[in-house]
Amino acid sequence: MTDPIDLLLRDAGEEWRATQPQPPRPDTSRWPPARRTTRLAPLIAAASVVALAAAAVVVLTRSDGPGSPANGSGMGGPPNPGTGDTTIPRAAEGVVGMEGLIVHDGDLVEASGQVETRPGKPVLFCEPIPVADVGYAPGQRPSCIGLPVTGVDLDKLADPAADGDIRTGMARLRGIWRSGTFTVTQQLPYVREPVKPPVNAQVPCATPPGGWQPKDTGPPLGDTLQNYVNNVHPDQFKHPWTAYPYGGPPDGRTENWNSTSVLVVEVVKGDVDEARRELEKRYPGNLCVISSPGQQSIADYNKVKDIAGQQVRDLAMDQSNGVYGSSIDISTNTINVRLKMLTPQLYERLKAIPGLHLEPWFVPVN
Amino acid sequence: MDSVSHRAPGQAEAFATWVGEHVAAMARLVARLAPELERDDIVQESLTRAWLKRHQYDGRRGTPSVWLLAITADQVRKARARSRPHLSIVDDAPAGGGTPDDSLDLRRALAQLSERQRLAVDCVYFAGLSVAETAAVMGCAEGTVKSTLADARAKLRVLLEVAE
Repeated sequence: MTDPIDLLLRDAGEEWRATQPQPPRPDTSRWPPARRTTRLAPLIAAASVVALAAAAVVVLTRSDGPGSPANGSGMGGPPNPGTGDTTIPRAAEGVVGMEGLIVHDGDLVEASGQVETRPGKPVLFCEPIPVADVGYAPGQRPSCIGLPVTGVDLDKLADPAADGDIRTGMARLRGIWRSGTFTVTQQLPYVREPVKPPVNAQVPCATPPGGWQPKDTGPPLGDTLQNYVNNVHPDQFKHPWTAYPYGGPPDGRTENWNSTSVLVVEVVKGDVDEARRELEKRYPGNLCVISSPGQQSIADYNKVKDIAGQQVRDLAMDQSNGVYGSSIDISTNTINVRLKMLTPQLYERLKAIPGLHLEPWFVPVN
Repeated sequence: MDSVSHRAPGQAEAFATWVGEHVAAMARLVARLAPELERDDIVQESLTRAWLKRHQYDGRRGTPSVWLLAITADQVRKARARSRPHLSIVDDAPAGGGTPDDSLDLRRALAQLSERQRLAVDCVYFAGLSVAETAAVMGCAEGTVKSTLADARAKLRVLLEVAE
């Protein structure tokens, strides 16, 4: 039986939340800088294509145009091992593609990442997961989480660095995976992750007379608009995203909040003119509303997030599965899963989950 | 991002993205717990605190949101202690829900809950936190949150004279 008090509170809470102003953005200028002595491969790739969760403000940038597939891996993606050998599958979508990534005991495999050496300790091949390396005295930071390896030529490491007696560098290693150990047989030239071009998505609307308003004239995403597209009509819209008509973020990963931006809302169902009128009532800043019929809606995204996303999160909670993280590409509603390797056991569990894009650290060498 | 990594990112940019999806809940929590304080300042203080403590985060012990909300609640307590330590957490904002009279009745009824009951109601119904997150904020077990909510609803039922 429905509790009327429960309903009353739910309604009251929903209305209250709808009145709340935009939450602040994390102000990293307040944060003490991280002391870095090593180069960690970027763990954020293409923030433009990543969902920031339904409950949060969804302000997204894109490096592609509307309606086109999103690029690359999602937020928190692993360091790209490079593209030196095109015969090696780097990722796969769907069950068929997944099969090519399965690593069996005794397979020849390859991975790229950081190598760490310490006096009197085994050389470690660090797993591509973020580690805290701030606040430690020189040479005192903890070891990375990694596999002990032998046969690595430390003089051939890329981007070598030293922190006291700790030496690090990047390497691309091939070897045999057997019984949970990695025996290096070959050290290949390390291929650096390609630098992504600056995000400067074109605004898919004509520039209004007098140009777009400066960035600081209003909130980037009005609460009422957010509520309208996310909660009231999630089946009619894609996640709003941000375009920079006069130049965007400098490196494709972080947003330059001083840049003039335009909030782009794509209408996937219904009358675009009517939608534009409704959205303009709810957002005072630069707004571009376009029609994108047939595209994935926020409601579609929510289904993926709630069902398949939860299945992936459940798998990740068991450390033995070696799942590092996941994110959802809002353009395709594909779930990007970062993992140590695709074992036959993990494959059996993942193959039933639709819409996965796997990004394993270790891949088999065909 | 649906981050399921067991560690918090060590780079500021990555960390900012990692916390990004939880900032809205943090802001709502501050707004409910301490409407008299500068919400955004408390949120930023909480994020700074989280950044400094990021090496302590262990995803096997709780989700990022639980961890961040617990830090936020702690920062609220500290901020309130610095300013006006005995303020009640009853807010003056319209609570919404039905007609204006209904809202007023609900606000009055909420004001008569115990502090723990009000805290649980604020977290779950208004800030939109899960039971697990609320337990982290209240420093108690999830079962305690559920029972506190049940008690709160029972009291509200009497106060509002709602028939079952």
